[in-house]
Amino acid sequence: MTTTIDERPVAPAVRPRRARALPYPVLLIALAAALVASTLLATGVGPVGVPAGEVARILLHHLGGGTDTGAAADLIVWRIRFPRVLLGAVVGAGLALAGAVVQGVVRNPVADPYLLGLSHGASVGAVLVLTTGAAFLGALTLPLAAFAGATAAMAVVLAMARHRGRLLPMRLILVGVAFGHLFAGVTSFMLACTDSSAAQQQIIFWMLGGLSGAQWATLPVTAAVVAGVTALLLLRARRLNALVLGEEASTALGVNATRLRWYLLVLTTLLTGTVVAVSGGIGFVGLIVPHLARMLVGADHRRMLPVTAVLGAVFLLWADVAARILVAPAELPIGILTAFLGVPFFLLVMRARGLATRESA
Amino acid sequence: MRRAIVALAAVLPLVACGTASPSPAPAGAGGPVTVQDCAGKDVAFDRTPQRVVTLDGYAAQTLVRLGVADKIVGTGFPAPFTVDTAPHSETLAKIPVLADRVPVTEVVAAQQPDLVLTSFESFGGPAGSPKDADLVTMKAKGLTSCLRGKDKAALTDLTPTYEYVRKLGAVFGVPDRAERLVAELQARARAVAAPSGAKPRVLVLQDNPVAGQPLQTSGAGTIAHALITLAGGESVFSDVSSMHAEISPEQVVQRDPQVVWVITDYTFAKLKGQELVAAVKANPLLANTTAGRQGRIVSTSQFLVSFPSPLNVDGLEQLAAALRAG
Repeated sequence: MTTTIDERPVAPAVRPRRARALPYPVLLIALAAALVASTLLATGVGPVGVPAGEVARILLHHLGGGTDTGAAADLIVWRIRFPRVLLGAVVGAGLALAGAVVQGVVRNPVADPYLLGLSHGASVGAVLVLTTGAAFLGALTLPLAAFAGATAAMAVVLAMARHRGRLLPMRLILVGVAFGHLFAGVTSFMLACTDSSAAQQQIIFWMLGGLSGAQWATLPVTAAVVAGVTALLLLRARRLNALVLGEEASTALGVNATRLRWYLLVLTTLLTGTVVAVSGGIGFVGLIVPHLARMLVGADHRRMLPVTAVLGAVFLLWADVAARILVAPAELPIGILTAFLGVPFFLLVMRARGLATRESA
Repeated sequence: MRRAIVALAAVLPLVACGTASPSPAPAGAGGPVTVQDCAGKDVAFDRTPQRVVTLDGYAAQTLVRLGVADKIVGTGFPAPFTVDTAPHSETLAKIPVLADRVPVTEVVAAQQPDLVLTSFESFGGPAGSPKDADLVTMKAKGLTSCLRGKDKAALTDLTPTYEYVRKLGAVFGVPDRAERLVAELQARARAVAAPSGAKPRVLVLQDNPVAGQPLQTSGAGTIAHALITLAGGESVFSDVSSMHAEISPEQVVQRDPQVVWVITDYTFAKLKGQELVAAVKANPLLANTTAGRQGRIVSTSQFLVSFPSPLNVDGLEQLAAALRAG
């Protein structure tokens, strides 16, 4: 087994040349402000019309510690719409970060949690629960099964990808892709075998992904895990830069590449498993958003990871708004929207940034 | 009386804002009732539901026949109404339609329902539609139809339909009307029950078969299978069980159906209604079967036979008449 030869210029931390570049802190603050504004705006939009003033009043009432009033608008805005918008932001940030880290770890620009079989593993866990109707842990059964599936998938992939104690990117990708296909086959097989059309519908919905499962009860767990893992990833951002340089270079910089890969992949599994468990398989975010971030601020993970998280949050939040209102009062699977909104935006930024993409990992 | 109820329904949403839901005069005895959901779990009603959302037209069709249509504040998926008949079709036409398909959670919540009904097997199937947890959030009870028995045995009679009618009768405080409706449906079903004798082999098709692709049929766990049994036929694919089972064209030829029963109006079918029936009649794959040679191809709308509803018996009457005509 050989490693790939890195032909890219060894300059991952080089900032792209930009004519009218915003200073980084200004950019980050602007993005954070955009996230907050998006959250509020998105809460005002939905299949049931609630006037903006009413939405603001309800949000202020609850954020100020108020309780449910029993009115329909209150129920819709506070119990149904707002947690969903927040979940969109959390899941978007989590998926984008997971993608960014996996791309760095395996040094491959088309990597994302799907490539390593993580999302497919989560699907197997979820579909097992849906087809057998098992509910040994009540409402938490499905998310926990999905999380267990992702963890098991990662464990299998890591075990098979290990070679003489080392964890090599190319092997990881090959084993990940192979097992991803196996898991996808298992899922399709269970889908074909189930008799219940209700279970079939749920499985298909789960495979396409969506945020309609948002609940105040489960949101804090997801948000806490995403926030915690994000913090741990940011602490390793500098070493991730070294890892991107390649095995020898990172060793020369005093980084144990295999150990760091293990550490980062375990964190990514935790991240992916947590968000996929509540939202199903939402594709594309983990693949595209990290590249957008690199185009904006360069490939240095210390600068790029926070931007990735915020961009992912804003992106998925608006994709979900579109999913909710385009065919209202029905709903579109969010995967359609992430592709429809993401590709034009991505191409736009890529063209505008020109050469900057050359340096992205 | 009807006008007064409609007027009251129009005022209710306004009254409901900011206060606990008001309680208009309940129809009949509105005492506490406990019924069981499909998993055998108790669902307790302190009083008769006053604001009901039916996620699909089937549930509304059942309530109309129980005389409690005025409790429906909105319905989704009204397509089954197209096959209903007077006088019920006029009542159904007056129900506010929330969505052409199953409405999403927000739209259901805006109605502030105290009961959400579906004749599908579970909540949360269609994208964005309310799940069980969402019903808890909006403080509404939920009931589904129970199509499949616990043992997943083949469905050979209309027990799920009758049980659903009885359950709704209990919940709405009109158990007598439910019993009368069930008795009437059972009498009609008995009237068309075939004399014992040779059982024609029936193939259910949900779409026009395409060469080289599997065919879609209704398996043993469906209302369609029950109707074939009741009408004195025998399904050629009793050994598959799901609602949209895929079967091989080779098996169709080998099992040689004597009658093809086309169930029309499925959303995935490329042709609708009689166009689909005509296409099936011209299909070369079926030309080699007894049904094809003898031209015994009959049809029924899926809105009569897909999910538990009193109109299942209309579907049974259509099928029984067609089987006898051959």
